[in-house]
Formats: sequence, C-alpha cells, structure tokens
Amino acid sequence: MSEDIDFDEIFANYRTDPFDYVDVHSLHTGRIRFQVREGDEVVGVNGEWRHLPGTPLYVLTRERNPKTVNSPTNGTVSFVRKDLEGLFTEAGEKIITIKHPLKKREIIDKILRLVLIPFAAPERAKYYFSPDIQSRIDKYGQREVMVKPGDEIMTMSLMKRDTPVFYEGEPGIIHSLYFKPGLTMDQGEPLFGVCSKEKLPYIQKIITRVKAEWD
Amino acid sequence: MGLSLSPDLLRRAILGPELELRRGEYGPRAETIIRRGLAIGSRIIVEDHIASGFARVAELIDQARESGQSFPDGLILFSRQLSSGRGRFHRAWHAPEGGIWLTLVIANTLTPAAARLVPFVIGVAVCETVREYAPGADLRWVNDVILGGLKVAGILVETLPSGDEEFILCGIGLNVNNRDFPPELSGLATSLAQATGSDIPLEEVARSLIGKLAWNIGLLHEVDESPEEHDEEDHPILARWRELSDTVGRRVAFGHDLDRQVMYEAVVESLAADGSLNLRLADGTLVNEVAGELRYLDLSSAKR
Repeated sequence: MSEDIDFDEIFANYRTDPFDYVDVHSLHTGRIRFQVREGDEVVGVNGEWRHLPGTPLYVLTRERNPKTVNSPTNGTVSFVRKDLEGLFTEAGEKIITIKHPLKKREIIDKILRLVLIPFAAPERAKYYFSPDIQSRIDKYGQREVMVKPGDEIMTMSLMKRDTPVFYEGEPGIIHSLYFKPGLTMDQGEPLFGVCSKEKLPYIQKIITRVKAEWD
Repeated sequence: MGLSLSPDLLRRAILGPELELRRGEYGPRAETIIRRGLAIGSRIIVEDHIASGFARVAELIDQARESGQSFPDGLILFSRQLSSGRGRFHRAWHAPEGGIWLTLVIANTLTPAAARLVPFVIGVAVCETVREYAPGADLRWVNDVILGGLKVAGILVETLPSGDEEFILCGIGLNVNNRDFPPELSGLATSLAQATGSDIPLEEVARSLIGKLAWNIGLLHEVDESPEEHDEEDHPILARWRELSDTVGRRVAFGHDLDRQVMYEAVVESLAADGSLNLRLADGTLVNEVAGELRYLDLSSAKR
C-alpha cells in the first residue's frame, strides 16, 4: 500500500504550502460564543507535561453549563463561522480552522503516518507500556521490539483504574512513539506507529529524503 | 483472629442495617437500589495466607473459563495476610494479620461512563466504613482514604479481560488492628486501632464494608440503567464523594507517579462531572487531569 503513495507529489505540496489546516468542530450542541477572530495567533496544548490547555477558541453553553474549548494546536486562525456567533449550533459543525506552520519533524511525522500503522488511544487517559514490552524496549531498543495482534502492549490509566490494552493490527516493530508516560492523550490520538521489519529501509529512505529536502 | 463470613450472613447485613441506613435518604427506592448490589459477597473465599489477591483471583477466573463455567459476579476473596501485596506501580503493600485484605471481582456489565466511576465507588464505600469508627477520615482523589493525615486504606482497581468477558478487580487494603508498619511507611500509614486506641472486631468491619460496597455498586447500576432519573451533571456517587473528600481547595503536588516525579503544584479547584479533577496553577491556568496522584502540600483543608 505505501509503495503506491506518490511521495514526489507530497513533498511538492509541503514545499509550496508547509502548513496544516486544522479544522475545529463543535463539541456538542449548544449556544456558541467565539473567543478568537480570524488572524488571531493561538497556541495548542503545551507545557512540560502537555498539561497546559491551548488558547480558548469558543465557549459552548448547554443547559446553562458553559464549556470552554481550547485550541489543539498553534498557528493562525484562518476561518471562523462568525454567522453562528451567539446562536445554537449542532454537534460536529465545522466552526474554526487553524493554519498551523509545520516544522521539519512534523512533516516527517505526517509522511510517516501514511506508511506506519497507527495505534490510537482508546480513551482520554494516561498510557504506559506494559511491563513486558517496557523491559524489551529497555533491553533491545524500541525499534527491535516486535508486536503482534493480541499482545498486551500498554496499560491505560484512567481515574486510578488500570486497564490492559491489547495490540490489534499488522505485526511489526514499534517505529515511532507519539506519547510519553504520564501525559494525558486524547481519545483517538495515535500513541505509536508500527511498521513491518522489511519496510524499515524504505521508511529510513523517506526520513533521509525529508531531512535533505528541508535542510 | 478469625473471619467467619458467609453469603447468608452478608445478605442479612446488607438488607438489614445497611438498607435501614439508606432509607433515611432514599426512602422506598433504597431497597431497589441495594438489591442491584446484592451480588456483592454472593460468594466468599477466605484464605489464611496468599501472595497476592489479584494473582489468586486471576487463577480462579482462568480455571472457571477453562472448565466452561461462568465466574461469579461479586465474589470476594479475603486473605488474613498477604506476602506479596502490592499497590500501583508495583509498590509493596504491607498486609500482615489484623487488617482487611480483600479482592472483589465485578463482572463488567457497566457502560464505559459508569465503569470509569468504579474507583470512586470503592473509595466511597471504604471511607464510609472507616468513618463509622473514625469520623475524621477523608477521601483524597481518587480513592485514598486518609485519617489524621495518614493513609488508612489503599485501593487498587484493574481490568482483567478473560475470553469474551471483562472483570474489574478491586483490591482493598484496610489497616484495622495492625499497628506495626515497616520503617518505609513510618509517618505515612495508620490503622483504625491506632487512631481509635482500641481493637475492632474484623468481622464487624468486613460486614459493614460489604454492606457499603453493595449499596454503592447498586447505586452505580441504578444510575447506569435509569440515567433519565438522575442529574447527569451530578452523579450521586460523585456527589457523595464530594461530601467525603477534602481534596477540593487543597494545595497539592501532582504527578503520574509521585514516588518518581512531581509534575507540578496547583490548587484543586473542583471535581468535574466525569470524575476528573480541575486544578488551578499559580499563573491562573486551569488544568484538567483524568489520572494521576496527589500529595497535599498544605496542612489543613480549606473546608475545615
């Protein structure tokens, strides 16, 4: 599948427009009050522990219960559904777009995500590797650790309840990590990316090429 | 020390004193609610000395699955002592004779939103039990039971998938009549006997605890099955937790594993409707946490 991806075109696109356009959708139904305008600079989740919320984007009020929604990323607000200000909005409506400038590392990550098998966080929680996987990582290094369907790969910690998380997906090695133990990860965020051992040289080629192209 | 507990005896305790206690607040609905929790203690195993309650229960669940039998929801395994008791992050848990060391097995038939409240349910039940003997006990988020600034009970909740089923294992360690703690727990742990100055019959504490577990688990099922009758912004389990806790308003150190690292200091602002914690940093930023540990940095609660 990944061999079919036209990397020349992807590289060309990133070169002419090295931005990510992050659409923000209304979290649930409710009356909306925007906290930003087009052209405003915003920051995303930040801090050493990713514990600091991003810039407030909008407040959604349902049944007299206001909820502030913060920016998931840094960049410039490029679009706001101003016509909805003060009105009732449906869940899932696209209301804001943030133009996020991509760094070289992010471009590598985005391209790698086209070829790696992502493993997404089942819930908003903290995650850490299961003791067996962690000891193999400590002993052999992350990219030497094979995972296969059914492996107990992680522990999800939520409200002081620990739940084992089992790997589902193609067998492979843990190539890229997108989480750190102790950091809260949102539901659906990738925790790590897996690739088959035979694809490793191919992936290394992509990384080398991105690094060269952006230097 | 003996522990003679039978399911019949426990059922009588649940439908007797515990139900009477709850009628005052819930009226006739109390019986419907408590009956939803009657599976708790429907099977009791008492061991003299085992290594770890979770490991033993996992063996029993495996055996049941291999022999094609369903595992009883609400089974409680007591051990008079544990040689390899542990807490989170594999911290050792000191469990000599004189305490209540139990593992409760809940077959997970709850919705995910309800299942995430199980650690609160267990904490509330344990704190209510401790308060019967020592009224000064408080809950520290999520479910540490603190008495006079020292930990009197520890709770460990883990999910155990088994075939097509999922179990929630709830480990409860309650220091009752054990008075001697190893040096590393000096100044950190206490027991009911130490706090009250006298020994307390273990069976009495165990009956009370199981009654409160049955009530609170019944309440969790009741809200889960009839959500339209309850305020989704104020789950009764979390409302009760707020009554029993002095966490809100405290200045705390927060971390994923506090033995290893403090992530930041903050003042606890509120418990959110989903059980997560809102903390205010010194610069005014509001942070929301769904998991982690707290250590109080102030000496007294803002509530007091």
